[in-house]
Amino acid sequence: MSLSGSVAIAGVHEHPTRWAPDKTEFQIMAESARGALADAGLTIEDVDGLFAASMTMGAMGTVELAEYLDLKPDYVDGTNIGGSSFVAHVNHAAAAIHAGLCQVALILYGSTAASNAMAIGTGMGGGGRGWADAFSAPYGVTTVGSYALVARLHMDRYGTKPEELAEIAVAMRTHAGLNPVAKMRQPITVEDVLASRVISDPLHLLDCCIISDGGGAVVVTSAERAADLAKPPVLLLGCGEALAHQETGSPDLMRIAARQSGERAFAMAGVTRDDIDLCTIYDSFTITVLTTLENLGFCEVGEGGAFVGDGRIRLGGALPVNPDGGGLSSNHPGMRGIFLVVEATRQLRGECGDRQVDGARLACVHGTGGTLGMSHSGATLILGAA
Amino acid sequence: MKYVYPDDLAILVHHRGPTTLPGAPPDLSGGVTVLCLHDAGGNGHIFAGVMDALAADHSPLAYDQPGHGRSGGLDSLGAVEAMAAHATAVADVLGVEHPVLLGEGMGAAVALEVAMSSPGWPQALVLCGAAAASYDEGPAIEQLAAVVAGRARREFDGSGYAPDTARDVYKAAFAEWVKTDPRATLEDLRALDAWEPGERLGTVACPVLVVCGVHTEDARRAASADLAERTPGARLVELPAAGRRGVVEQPAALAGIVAQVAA
Repeated sequence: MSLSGSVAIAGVHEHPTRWAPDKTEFQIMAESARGALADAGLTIEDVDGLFAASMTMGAMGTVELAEYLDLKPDYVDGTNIGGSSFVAHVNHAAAAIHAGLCQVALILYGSTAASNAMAIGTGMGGGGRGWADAFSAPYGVTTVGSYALVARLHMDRYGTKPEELAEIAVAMRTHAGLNPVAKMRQPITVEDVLASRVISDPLHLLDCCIISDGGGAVVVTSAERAADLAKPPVLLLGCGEALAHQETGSPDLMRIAARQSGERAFAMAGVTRDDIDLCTIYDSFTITVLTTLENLGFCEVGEGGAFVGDGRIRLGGALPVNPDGGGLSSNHPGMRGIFLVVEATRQLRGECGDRQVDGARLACVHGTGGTLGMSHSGATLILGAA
Repeated sequence: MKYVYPDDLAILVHHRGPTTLPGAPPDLSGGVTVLCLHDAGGNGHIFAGVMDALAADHSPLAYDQPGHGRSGGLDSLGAVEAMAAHATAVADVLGVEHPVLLGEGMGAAVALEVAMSSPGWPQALVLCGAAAASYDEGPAIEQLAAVVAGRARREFDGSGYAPDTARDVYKAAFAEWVKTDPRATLEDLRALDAWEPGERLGTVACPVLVVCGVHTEDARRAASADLAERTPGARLVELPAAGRRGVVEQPAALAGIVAQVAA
């Protein structure tokens, strides 16, 4: 039996907080778990698979989390490949459920990145542990700096304009205006983006994701079991993962992990890019969205600037991206992948009210983790309404 | 410190003395309760020095307004009247009765609003940092609006302090100020700018001290003097060796003034 279509997302929850100085990461995870399990019509007693990662969880983090939740799972996965981790966790949970290693997987994320004043984008990229970091860390490469490197190359090689990147930020803010819990809802224009101060040339402040607190949870189980639960199941039709790195000093910065993970996910799902009704794409920076769309195959590499224009990625456009407002406007508590899964699931259930994509049946979810121009991870899902 | 939850929103309360169980207010049996109300964009920790100096004989309290410091919420309450209502709600949760209200800047306006809306509740007001009833916040609003739009950085501001103030003092004050989202600070300033007590100042029925650092710039000194003149029973007191931030520049001396009122 194929994995495609045999596993489903049965429950999701996005913690509404954007600022929670009175809470801990684990508290946010626990509250999110309660929400997602209630959404699925399950209880914590049903959970036998635990998947989690966070900005601060160390090697024993999942053990500590299990104790906090009073769980003794049969299957544990603490994979941490940055912001895409939770998209990858869906893949891993599906594989485990498909193999009979667990039946109900609980995927968790929680963070107090904002209230703990974490310097996420302007912190050092790469962590300084890899051999290649010895050649970049001394020069002060930051996370935002590595994404700016990709943006600058895109502009130089293909003539991409700052206005085209800015359109992505404007689209996300427009969507956030329809999301009552989004952190930044005040409308902005392309001119506002370009007038905001430069953080790392050519990226302006409003090209960069916000920093918030927050968290979420996803419940994955077999499609058969999900069919009997509280909400309509959302089927996992395709999935893929990939890692990209400096390739011994000769990477093509325009070829990101999304190419590899996306090809696998689309092939598994047996659908084409034209079949997709919406995307939820990790938008750490505007360039992340543009180059991800290219590498997922929605347009050719180099054509992303024109592709995102004319309202194509806005609600009502041909390919709405991040109807919740994304990390650029709704929330970005350090690692945002879980919200990509949550929003896609809600869209496919038709639960999103003012920001609902009409007739959404197929969604492409892609998470990016790490530093785009140096080393990063990618994980792609193709999700379908049952 | 502890969290309380008026209106289901987490509010961080700063207090002195032993901690208490969640849901139980701190011990307020010592002397008079002094409830400290912070400035625009500030938080309760700014009163740490004053609270330390008061703690031996009194029960000082401070809190972070919603959207400020380490309290919950993203936004300013948006109106001085709402801040005053919130202050009484926080005090109610904490079991505060007849406090001395110590307000700095916007907090001074909140204290006055409380005194006007709940006459008989505060036993006295100590207002410092130039209660802004007649101070033009326009330039500060314009600068913060640029920050909120992403067009300017939050600049380190060392102005307005007494000349001999140690650098660490205003560095610490700046560090507290940036703990609040500039959007909330901007809305605070707009709320303060829009607040006009007018003739209602005449209804203030408790003793009022308007404290003004001797090195305060002229416009703020004038605002302080104007406030003292317009408020019945108010007295203008000068704070030596301080500018507009007497709360952090001369916390012990300010605590002494508060203690005199509380005596």
